[in-house]
Amino acid sequence: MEQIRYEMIVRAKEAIAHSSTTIGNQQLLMRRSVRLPGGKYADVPSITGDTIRHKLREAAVYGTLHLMDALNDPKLSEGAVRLLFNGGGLTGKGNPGVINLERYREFVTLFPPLALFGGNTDNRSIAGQLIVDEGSLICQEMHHLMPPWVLSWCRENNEPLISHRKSVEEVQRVRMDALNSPETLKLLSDEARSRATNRLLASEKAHETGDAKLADESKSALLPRTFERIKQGELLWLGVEARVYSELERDAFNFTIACLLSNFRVGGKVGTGHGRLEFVKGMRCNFLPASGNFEPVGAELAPKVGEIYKQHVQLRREDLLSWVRSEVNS
Amino acid sequence: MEPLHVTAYLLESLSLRSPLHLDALLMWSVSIEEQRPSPIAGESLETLDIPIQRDPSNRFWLTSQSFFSVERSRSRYKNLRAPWHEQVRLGDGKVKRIDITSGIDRGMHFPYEVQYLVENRIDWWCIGDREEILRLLSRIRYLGRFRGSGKGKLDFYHRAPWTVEPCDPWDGFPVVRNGKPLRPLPPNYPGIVEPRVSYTNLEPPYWDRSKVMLCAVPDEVV
Repeated sequence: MEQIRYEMIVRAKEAIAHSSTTIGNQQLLMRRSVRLPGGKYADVPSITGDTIRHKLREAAVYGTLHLMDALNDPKLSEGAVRLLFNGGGLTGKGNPGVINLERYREFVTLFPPLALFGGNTDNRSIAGQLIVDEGSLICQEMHHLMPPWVLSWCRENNEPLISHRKSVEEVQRVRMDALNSPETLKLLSDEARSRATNRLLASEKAHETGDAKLADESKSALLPRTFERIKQGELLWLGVEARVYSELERDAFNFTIACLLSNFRVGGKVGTGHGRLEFVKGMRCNFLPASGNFEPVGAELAPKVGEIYKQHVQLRREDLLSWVRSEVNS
Repeated sequence: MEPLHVTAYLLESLSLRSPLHLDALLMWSVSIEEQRPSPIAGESLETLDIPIQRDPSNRFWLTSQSFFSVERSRSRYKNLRAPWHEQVRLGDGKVKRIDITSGIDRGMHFPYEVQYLVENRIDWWCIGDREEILRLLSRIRYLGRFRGSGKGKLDFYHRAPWTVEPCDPWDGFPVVRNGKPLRPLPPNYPGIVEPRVSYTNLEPPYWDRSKVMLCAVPDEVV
């Protein structure tokens, strides 16, 4: 058994819109409370561990399906989709008291990421072997919590630690109402155009007379909204740790991280230029009893990573395909 | 075997809803070393050997439960979303309808609590083998619930996250102090005076509600 830990600095190539909640039409950024030296607390922007863990899970599944050449015609069963993409659920079918060790070993040997992420199958929860830290903004308030190597890297690369307040911006977007545009009105049928024009007239009248009820009835679908985001170019650090029991599991773990880093996106609004993260610097933590030391990540996360895992998938392609297309109890 | 004081140092917050038991942590460490499947509620279990002394009646391990003070608590949330989009794009087409309001695909947004501890530390007392305890604990770098998503991280950046030091025992060490239990004990255990009683377990797994019994328990609760 081996415990491997990678830590990395990533840069926001695009602004990050990872929200926690919406109040009215204002979306607030995900933050976590951090105790500062001296006893005060600050709410610092962060990316939840759940988010990054889910992204890793997706990366492992899509990466494996790609290796199996199954993305064009996947035909996964319902249970398999559930198990692979969100860990599955307890269906109530089967006897949880019976540990089918053979079946469990078959699962994790066939698809090692399942051992890493854990899941619910055959009416039994299988604990995962993977721990994913929260993604933390590299900022002044996190100074006392950062690994020493991150601080050294910032010093060497002239990256000043500034307050998290300077790393967040609030932006506004407006969903337009197509029916407010004279050009679009010309495309409507006579009846629809008349209705839209009457609504615009009623809206103007309500505005002039101060009639709140009429204003509400005739308001357009135009929606201005604001949201907070981490500014483009900001740095974050994150850590991923796994317990592996074989060379294959270790390679599958490296492969999963490499897949994630090749297209690392978090948060919302990814369709409109948000959420892309770029790997900047990585370290592997070697754990000694009761302490840890770090060394730079070398070939482990390079593009050629995962040779053993790729070979495994190609050798067991048919078994994997028939498994993900079978009735998985999850 | 000697009287020991065990301390864990956290980096940030952790999420707990019941005390942490040192014997359970050590047993977890042994079980992952031996790659054992996690236990099932209600099933009988083989007792794993951990470097802690058993009590003379052989009913529990001579270790206290965790002690700490909570400085602040905050609510956090977890979201569960059915993979309906993936079901549509990658599924075999047999699924015609996904109910996200009930059943196995139900979406969820549930709260949980994280606690910030005074001095970021947790203490235990036990009678055991110092070296072996330290070896097993060094494998544990996260404590409490939701470790998979980074909660309960120990401070292994700035200091040794675990310390196991010999200490001076007191009368009743390490399970009773000043007439009060420091862990779940049988109600008739010698030396305890008017304890609080509750249904809980004497041995790991402490979450197995099928094996609870009436125990004298410490006053401090999470």
